[in-house]
Amino acid sequence: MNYRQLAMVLGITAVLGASGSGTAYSQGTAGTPYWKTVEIGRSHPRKSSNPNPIPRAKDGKPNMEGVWTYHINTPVSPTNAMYVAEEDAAVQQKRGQQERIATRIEVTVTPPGEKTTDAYNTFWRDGFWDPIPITTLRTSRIVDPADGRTPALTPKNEALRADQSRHDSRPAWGPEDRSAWTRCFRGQSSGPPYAGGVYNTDIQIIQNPKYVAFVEEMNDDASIVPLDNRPRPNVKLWRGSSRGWWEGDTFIVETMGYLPQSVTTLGGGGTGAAANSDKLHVVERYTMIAADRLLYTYSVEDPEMYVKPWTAEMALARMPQNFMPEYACHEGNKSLEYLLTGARANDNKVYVPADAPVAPVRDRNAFGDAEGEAE
Amino acid sequence: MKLSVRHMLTTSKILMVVAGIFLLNVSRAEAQQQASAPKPAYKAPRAPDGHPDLGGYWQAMGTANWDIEAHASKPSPVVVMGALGAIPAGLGVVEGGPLPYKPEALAKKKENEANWLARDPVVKCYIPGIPRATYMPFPFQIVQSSDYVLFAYEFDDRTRIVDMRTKDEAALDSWMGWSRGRWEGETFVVDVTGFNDSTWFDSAGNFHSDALHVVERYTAIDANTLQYEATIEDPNVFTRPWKMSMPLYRRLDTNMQLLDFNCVPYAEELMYGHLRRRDTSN
Repeated sequence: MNYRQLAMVLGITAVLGASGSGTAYSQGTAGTPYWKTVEIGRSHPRKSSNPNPIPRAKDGKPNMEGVWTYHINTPVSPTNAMYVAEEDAAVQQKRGQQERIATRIEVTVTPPGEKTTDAYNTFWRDGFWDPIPITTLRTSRIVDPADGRTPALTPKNEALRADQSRHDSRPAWGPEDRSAWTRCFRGQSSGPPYAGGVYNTDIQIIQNPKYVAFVEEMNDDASIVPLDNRPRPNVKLWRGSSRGWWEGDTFIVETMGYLPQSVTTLGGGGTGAAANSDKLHVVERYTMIAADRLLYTYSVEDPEMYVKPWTAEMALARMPQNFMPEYACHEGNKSLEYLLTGARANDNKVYVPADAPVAPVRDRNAFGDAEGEAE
Repeated sequence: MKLSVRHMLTTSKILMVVAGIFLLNVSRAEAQQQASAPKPAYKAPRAPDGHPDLGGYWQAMGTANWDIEAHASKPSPVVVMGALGAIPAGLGVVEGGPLPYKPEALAKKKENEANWLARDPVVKCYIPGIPRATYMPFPFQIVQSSDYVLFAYEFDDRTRIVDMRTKDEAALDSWMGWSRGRWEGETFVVDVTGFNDSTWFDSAGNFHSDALHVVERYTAIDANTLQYEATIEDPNVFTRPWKMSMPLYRRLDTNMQLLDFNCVPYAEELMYGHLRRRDTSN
């Protein structure tokens, strides 16, 4: 991209930003989009011990290719102090790992009416085998507002979350009572933006001068970001439509045109639920600050869901491997089948004793299953 | 008058014969061209690393997704869809048929076909696998760098990342397989192993085992066409390797981009509808 194109992109972005967010809502000064009012680097990224220079692509841009984790051991909102000391960060990182190992893998026998202890799958989770890194010294991912806390939710957001939580916690009447994650429409932490989660919290980046692709491990979703600023389609999408450009060594992705309740990474009441509106507007900024650290700043504007915009920042850590295993959620989604089967048994007051052998639920599939009848 | 009519008839007969020979030659030449690997007379634009740039939006035409072998059109299995749901005919994409099934495997193929809707994994929006993802009736995008080539398929919003460097074998079986890529001149070659046995080649019950080994070849034959070939090897199911080939066309739509076909929601009623609560009065 030459300077003229860049200027054009910035100009268009400024117009979109200004028109996309009302003056009462936007924090930016007149004509400046909100995200531009928040500088990058406010999270005090820790120094990397990796001595290698930042890799560069043939076109001179930082080469971000590789697998990166966005599971960072920094809470979304601050604990006591706003920052930790470098020494304390190292101690905390080690302690977090110890705690995860200490949570043993237990067989969970859940008494009727009680919730599962959730310990059965500890070993799958991020942090069990390798420590989840603390990559910044701030104790909150949110760098704007300055108090490090998510701005107040709008009444509409609160009502939606309460409703989704209520449906999520009752015996399911149908698949609709469960979240996009449980139904395998989306991952638990599907973006953009990327944040948090418990496992499979990796993205793989593939880039060339025309496109930068961000592939999420969980639910195998890709955002392929064109750099030519082509117009967005008049179609709402699960991941919205992303457009991107370089500003110096920082890659900027601007995304809008989301389907409502599509971005599970922002939370939504109930595990893996989403509460965004179709007005959601996300700007992400990627800056390589070391060969194994990718500073990631994302700004969220959703006037229907938050009383003001907010920005979070963390440093993504490079993963040692160069591939992500295939994530096939729907193909093995026994969870939805069994929880619905259990709920229907409850409807008929058929209580199964805890020591009863597991019934071959598969035979009850009305649509017929290949393995069931053929072999 | 009589003479001229007879003369005209004779002339037209000769013309027809000449045309016939000409057509025969053309079709023979076409057949030869299809049978042998495409001659890379065309040189694609270069990527920054000097290899052909195959990036863009591509889509197969034709009806291989219904049946990779030659087939006549069929009525819709869903009555309310009428003519819209009917299955179009196709010339087939398999080179030199019929498919070399082992006898017991052929019996299973026929059984699959008879139980198509219950067994076709794509009916449930399961991952289509390779090569089927290539010729689903949806576009896909190639994003190419020196070390990785991303295939993003609109069907099921599914991806596959081809690693250009690794020598590692597949760590585990998967629906889309383990893809290792290399360049052979103008041709992008992908060696795919590590499959599970859960995908099909089409909706006609053509299947494979977890011993499947696919070698794909993508060659640009002009600015807007890739010639696609896939060699299929599966000693558990077939008596010999066989090959399919078809052109892939560039989607030239203005402001083209992949959209969503997150089809999991569309299979939910089919798969879980019978488990819905009947009495919703309280």
